[in-house]
Amino acid sequence: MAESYPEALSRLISAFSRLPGIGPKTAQRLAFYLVKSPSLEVEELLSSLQEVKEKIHFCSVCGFYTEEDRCKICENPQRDRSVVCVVERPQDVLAIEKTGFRGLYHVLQGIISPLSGIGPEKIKIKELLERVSQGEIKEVILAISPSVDGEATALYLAQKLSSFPVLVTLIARGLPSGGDLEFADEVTLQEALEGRRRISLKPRKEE
Amino acid sequence: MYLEEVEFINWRNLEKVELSFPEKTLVLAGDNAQGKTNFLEALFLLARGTSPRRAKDEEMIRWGEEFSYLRAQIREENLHFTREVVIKKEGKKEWKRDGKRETRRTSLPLVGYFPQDREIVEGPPQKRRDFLDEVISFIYPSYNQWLREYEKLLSRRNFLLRERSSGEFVEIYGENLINCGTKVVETRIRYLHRFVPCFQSFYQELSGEDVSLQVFYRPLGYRWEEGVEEGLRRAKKRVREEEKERGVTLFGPHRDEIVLLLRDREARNFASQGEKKRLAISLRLAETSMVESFYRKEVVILVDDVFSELDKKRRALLWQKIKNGSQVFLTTTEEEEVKELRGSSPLSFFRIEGGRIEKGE
Repeated sequence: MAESYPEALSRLISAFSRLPGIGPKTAQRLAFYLVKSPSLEVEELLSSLQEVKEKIHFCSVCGFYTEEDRCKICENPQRDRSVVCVVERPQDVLAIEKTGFRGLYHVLQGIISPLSGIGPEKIKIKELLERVSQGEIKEVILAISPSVDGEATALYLAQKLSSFPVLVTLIARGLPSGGDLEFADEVTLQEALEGRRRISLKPRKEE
Repeated sequence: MYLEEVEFINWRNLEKVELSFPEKTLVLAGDNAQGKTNFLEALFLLARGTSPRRAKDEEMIRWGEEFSYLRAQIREENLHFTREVVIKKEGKKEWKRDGKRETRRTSLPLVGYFPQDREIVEGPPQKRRDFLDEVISFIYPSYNQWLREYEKLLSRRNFLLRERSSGEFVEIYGENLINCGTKVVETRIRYLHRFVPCFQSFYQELSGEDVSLQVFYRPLGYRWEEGVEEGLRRAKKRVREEEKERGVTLFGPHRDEIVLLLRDREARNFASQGEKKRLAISLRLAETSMVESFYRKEVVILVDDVFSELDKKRRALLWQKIKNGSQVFLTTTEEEEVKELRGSSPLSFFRIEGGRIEKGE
């Protein structure tokens, strides 16, 4: 019988290959690299893994990453507490942050997806409704990707939120900025047309 | 559009084909099962991106080979370009334009007349829906994306119904299905309005008699005149209990019927064989003129062994209709039938035997 790697090494390889985006080949490469690495480097990796597992969890209010009970965004008194932006995953929060949005967030931890057995009860919809029912929130922005399941999620949320006195908005669909009209596909262009808005001109200064 | 030259390698039973078309009409004669339809199928795929018989990629590759290659040198107005496609046993087709990889293609104006078109008239409702959907997608590309979205929504809703999921969950997809379905039905009706007069007048001409021919869009469970969105909503309500029982979506454009009424009776069941043939040809003629008017371009026409189904008078009539296409490819088992058309315009003759094509006289 052909020999395989010693047990400890095989275990490490199979642990790596369970990670998302890592196939068997990459898993092996990572394992061999760690075997050769100086102990200090491995210890550093080990301790940061441990720390992440011990300290990082989801904010009890919005679901973003935090080391405390509530995340820095929820705790920040400068934030506009009347607007909540609903996103699918915690990493989407940072994407929206870069736009300069300064309201609060709500992370759904997924979207409705019947083919993978994810129903509305499996994502953080109940929690959102609870937050809204407290009355401080005036607008809910749905920033969910425009896929078939994303749209279903948005529609479901809109229906659920309709019993509260809040404004529910959906992010626009259409052309990317810097995009060329000529290269846009028809559906995107059509959505851009449907979502067109009036150009508001600033009143000219009196001379 | 004009196909100036083509090259096929390992395409079905055609091992290697290299032809140029100086004459605008090409006749390919040969016995059955020699490769006539395969030849036209390759032209169709190059222009429209799909097989007219909805064949799978691996079926298109010559037996025992790993890939198939098609190329055409095309002229459109004053523009010359090459389109190439490689079909592999596994993985997607690879398209190129002038040697560069192409991810998004537009369909080129080409229409095919095939013997199996009769199924559009006499087959199940799906055949007529597919025909109309193809015609619309060809001239209105957004429609195709709506259809695909509709299919996705439908498969999810059916899955939920089958799994007996909570009514609320089914409801979310039902609502989006109605929104998307409304767009599909409204577009079908809008294009049908433009399509039908064409179809009627071609049929009158081809049959040589003044008969009543009508086309209706018949949605399942409501009348579209009352408003499509409202109608779909009512239809959904009506089948609610039955859907729960059977675990499948029972309303929507995927179940609608397009009815052809000849002399006030459903052509599907009551038309004669000859009438069905003429109806099928008229459908293609109407498609051709829709494509012509929407693209404002000349159309390449493929006619697969359709002439032999018609008598002499009607052959001449059909020929009058199609010979103005920018280019015409005809196949036939009976050379004489086609040669009689020669008087009106120059034809170049080719013979096909066992997948080999040779110039005839």
